[in-house]
Amino acid sequence: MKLKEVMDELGLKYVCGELDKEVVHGYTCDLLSEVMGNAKPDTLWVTVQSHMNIIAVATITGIRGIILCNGHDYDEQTIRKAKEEGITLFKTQENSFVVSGRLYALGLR
Amino acid sequence: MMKADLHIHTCLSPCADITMTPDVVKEKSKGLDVLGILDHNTSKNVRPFIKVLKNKVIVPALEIQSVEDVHVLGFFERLEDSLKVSRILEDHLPNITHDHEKFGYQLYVDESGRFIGYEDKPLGFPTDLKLDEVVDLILKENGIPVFAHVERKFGVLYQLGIFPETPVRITEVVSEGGYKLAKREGFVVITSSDAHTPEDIGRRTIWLDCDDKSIKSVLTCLLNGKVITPWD
Repeated sequence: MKLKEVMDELGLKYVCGELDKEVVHGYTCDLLSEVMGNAKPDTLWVTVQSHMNIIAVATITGIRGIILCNGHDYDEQTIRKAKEEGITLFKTQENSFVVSGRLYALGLR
Repeated sequence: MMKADLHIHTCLSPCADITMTPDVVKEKSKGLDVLGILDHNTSKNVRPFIKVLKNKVIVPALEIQSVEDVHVLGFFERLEDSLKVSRILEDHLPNITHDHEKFGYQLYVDESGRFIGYEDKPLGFPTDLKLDEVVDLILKENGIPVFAHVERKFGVLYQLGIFPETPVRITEVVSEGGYKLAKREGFVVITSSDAHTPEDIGRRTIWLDCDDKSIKSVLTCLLNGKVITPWD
């Protein structure tokens, strides 16, 4: 599924990055080590972590995009790094449970 | 009384400026008596700072990231002890090679400020040690554990929402709000710059009511709460 479709279906607020990329999996977690150990490539990551280190984790695991939940904002550095590394960023007022459920309903696994 | 900034990163931290070298830190820390020199998950760049900043008290330190993404500072009297902890941590970091170009250079430096090597372990990542294990490791090797920037990202309050039951008695805060929360729980409270660039050095400091200019005296001061923050 294309990130653009996910964004439109969930009404996500776009922050930066390409929207034409395909994602197959979803992963919901806030602990960086868990994400590093378990997330698959072509994943859309649902989290409340906004520190710059999330971009390093995404790059290493092959995560394509990140949805930041609960109305949190990304640091400026995080956005800059995401642009450099080609990671697409979204945010939403919804919590991780709701976002995850809607992603599952859209077909991400 | 001695003025202290106990949380200063070096050019070995991937997120720190490469100008965080002994000569530059010396230039930017005039007026400070005590510096804590550290990096993420290691003390392996501290030695040249001790040599160059010999007129100050340099506390060998490190900032360990637990598996819960909580940052804990370890302050040591002896560099050898903090280096031992650093070596132990190498086996607890993710088994990947650090990409210096993408995620920031991790540089070893000598006394003249010359870069003498790279660290390829990914220092900016969490270890696989639980918070309790991190605290125990610091205590076992004669260090003093301190919760870092508790109310900010990677701080224990930010990550876990509460101060968990641990032997930690000292917390670092970055704001008056954090100060009040930590004081209410009975902690000794310090504040420091968490400097990642030369300009950051000394932007938050404390006064220590120390007997003499030694690491032991500084650490005793911390343990006994003889600390004055901007909010006291």
